[in-house]
Amino acid sequence: MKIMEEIRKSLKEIVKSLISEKKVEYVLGFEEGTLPLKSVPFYIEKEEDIDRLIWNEYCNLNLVKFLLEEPHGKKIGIILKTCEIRSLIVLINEKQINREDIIIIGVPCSYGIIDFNKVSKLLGGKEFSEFTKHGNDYIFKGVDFEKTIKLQDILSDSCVYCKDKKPIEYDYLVKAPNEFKNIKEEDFDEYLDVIEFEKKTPKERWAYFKKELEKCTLCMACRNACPLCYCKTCFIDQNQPQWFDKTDDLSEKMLFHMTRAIHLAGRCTGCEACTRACPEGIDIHLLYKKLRKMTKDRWNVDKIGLGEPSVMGSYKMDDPQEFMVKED
Amino acid sequence: MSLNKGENTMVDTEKSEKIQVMIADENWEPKIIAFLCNWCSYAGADLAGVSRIQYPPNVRVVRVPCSGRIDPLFILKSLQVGWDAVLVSGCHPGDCHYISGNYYARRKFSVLDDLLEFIGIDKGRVNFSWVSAAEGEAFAQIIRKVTERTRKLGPNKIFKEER
Amino acid sequence: MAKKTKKKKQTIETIETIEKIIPKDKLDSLIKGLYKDFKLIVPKEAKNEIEYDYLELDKEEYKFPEYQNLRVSPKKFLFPQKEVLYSFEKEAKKILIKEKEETVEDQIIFGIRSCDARSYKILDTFFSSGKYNDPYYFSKRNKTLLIGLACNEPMSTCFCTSVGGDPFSSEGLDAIIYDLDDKYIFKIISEKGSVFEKYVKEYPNVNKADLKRKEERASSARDKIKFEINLDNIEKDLDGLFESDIWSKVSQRCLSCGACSYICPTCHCFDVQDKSDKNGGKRVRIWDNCQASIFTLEASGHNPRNSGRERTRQRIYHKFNYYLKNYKILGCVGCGRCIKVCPTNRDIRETLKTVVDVAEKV
Repeated sequence: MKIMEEIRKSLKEIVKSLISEKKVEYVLGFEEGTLPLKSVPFYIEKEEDIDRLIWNEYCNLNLVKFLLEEPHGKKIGIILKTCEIRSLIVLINEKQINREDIIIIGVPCSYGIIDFNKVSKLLGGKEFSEFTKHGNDYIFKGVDFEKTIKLQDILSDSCVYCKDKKPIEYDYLVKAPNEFKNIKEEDFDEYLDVIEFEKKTPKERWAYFKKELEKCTLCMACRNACPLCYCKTCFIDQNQPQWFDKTDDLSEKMLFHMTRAIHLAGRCTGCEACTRACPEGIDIHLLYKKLRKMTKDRWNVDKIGLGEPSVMGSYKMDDPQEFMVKED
Repeated sequence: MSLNKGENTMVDTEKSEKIQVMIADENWEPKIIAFLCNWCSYAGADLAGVSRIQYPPNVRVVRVPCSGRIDPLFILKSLQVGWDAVLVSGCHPGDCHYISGNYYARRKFSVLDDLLEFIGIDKGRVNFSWVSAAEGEAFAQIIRKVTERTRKLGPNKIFKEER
Repeated sequence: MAKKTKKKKQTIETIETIEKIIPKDKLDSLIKGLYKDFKLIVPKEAKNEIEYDYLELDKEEYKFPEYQNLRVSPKKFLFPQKEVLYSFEKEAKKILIKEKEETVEDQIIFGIRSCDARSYKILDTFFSSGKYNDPYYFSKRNKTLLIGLACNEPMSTCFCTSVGGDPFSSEGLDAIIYDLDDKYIFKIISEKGSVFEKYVKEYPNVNKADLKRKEERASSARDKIKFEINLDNIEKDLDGLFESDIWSKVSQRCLSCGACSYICPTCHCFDVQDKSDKNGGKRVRIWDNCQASIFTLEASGHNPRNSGRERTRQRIYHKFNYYLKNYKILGCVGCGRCIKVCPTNRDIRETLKTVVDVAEKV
């Protein structure tokens, strides 16, 4: 896509100026992976490396995760989209990262990020050796098949319903050549998929989650890909007391995901790095999207800015409490 | 819960109707765990006892310093271990001994409540209330309400793990 | 008596040369025949699910699917993710320990690739090392027969030829099927596999032309594996690189998630947990993975593998150095599943290349 090429050119110029003027120790971006449709986090330290930088629909990780290991005081540049900038803001609010240490290069999102698990499902699990783009259609070729798939069917769910395309906090902004729209033509509510899901009966909803979570092997890829899960000892690894023992019961898996969702209430920004990292292809994003809809419905706050108080760490005197049991 | 030993217990809604019939024969009684805050709700429960107010004996009480101490993890773990219902009770808004613990608790529990409803768990397994130290009768009424609600819902099969 | 010994000699000869032609459309009926007498584990026909997996056949209608290799390895049939070791119960003042009662049927894993079959050899060496054999593993292993399917189309991530394997290898298999497009060759390899003789009795023997085609197929399959690396000196190379700083570079992008260990057909680390209440319970063995940050956390609080650098290094060393030292075989079969499943696209082939290149310079 020509637009992606232009964004990549502007990115390269910005990164070049940062590195040659020694404003940062390295810049975090993406480079081409060893398999088609895969990208790899890339630490750009020298000017010769800049040509390997890429920017396209399969830059699928939340790079903010890699900032957490660095010591304070180290200057780092990072290339981020809007939802990832929001997760960085949450980390800055929680005092895990200093704003002065990071130089944010904001990139506007195009249609979104491709979910590799969705591609696998639509190809029946078969391997493809190459792919070509034709407008918004992707043509996948394998050993004995060729299949055309629409971009809308393989985009990450959060990107399909996203209305939040402009970066809100940045030091450098790459301007989109023209206004990026969502892949859906018509107007829609941002939480449409949650609203549709809530129309189902409780039995259907439980059956859906049960079917998805039976595949879980508790590998923790979702937790490790999430930038907001940074506890030194996660509750599931705790030994004294031992809450969960990681055996294969459905109850363990259910409770792990429920508790992780509760810990992320008011903090999750919907980047969906967790869903894309899952090796079993579990679709868990609805649980996390519901968190944002819930904070919006209850307390009127679903997106947090820099310096604003956290949702669970603050309160109002007149918070709704319709769920309380009262005496007659 | 000898009824559940050795059964595959993640909820199978067709089976649970059959089990309901079994329950009626087995004289199942709901088991409810109550986390009560030390300064208000626990004192209220104590007042109910001292005043000889009768309420169902299905409740076991755990005393905590403040309702804000309750991690949603405790509630979920109780459901997994086999309790049929959970009650968390704290001081009325504005009366918390630690000033604002119950406000944070209110937010935490609304998250838990909404999420449990979202994934399809029947409402009524997890209950919250405000009970002050002078409300002995109110505490007893709340226990009666919660016990009846739990009796209608049946034994907890949702999160109970295989043993 | 003389007659009996003569017959025995004859059968030993025929075991080594049973190679039959099976027409393309008869494979499903062969599977049906086997299903009547054995428990059969076959590849699942996946239409649009990511569960490209094995399944235990429970009905007669089954069509053998086309596939390169399945996403999930068959390790779980011999080494399940959760396995009860024994249960215990309190009775009056005594504690009763109950052994697990399990009837293991004879089972066949059908359509397994040569890399997965070799992985069973690696698991065998691990579970039988030292004084004791693991009874839970071997009770299943001794009753499992493997019928392999040679690889005509290796995937882009396969590198079995670099670690001592081959797409047409029959190592570790009891019988193997070669796919020649319009027909199959069914060859019985091991003594245990001689039990299949009666299922293929009616089919004709192979002729020289078929065997020649098989050889052509084998070499074309080998050519399709693009990645080649010489790992003859990998043990010595790694010996000298323990404190090298390449491990920081290699582990920089690793999330320490564990997806690779769970999907790997040779990874075998496990944890033992007790699930109990005051009246009794059971002891359970579950998969564990060395990439978790608390894997080596000791009771004192010290953690020798505290950062990703040490854990990534440990994984490479375990598979390519310690296994060679202890068991004289490589601990990796080159199936490439870890490359496919890693969220950050960490490629073990690149790591091996880095190791070999750096060792050469030193």
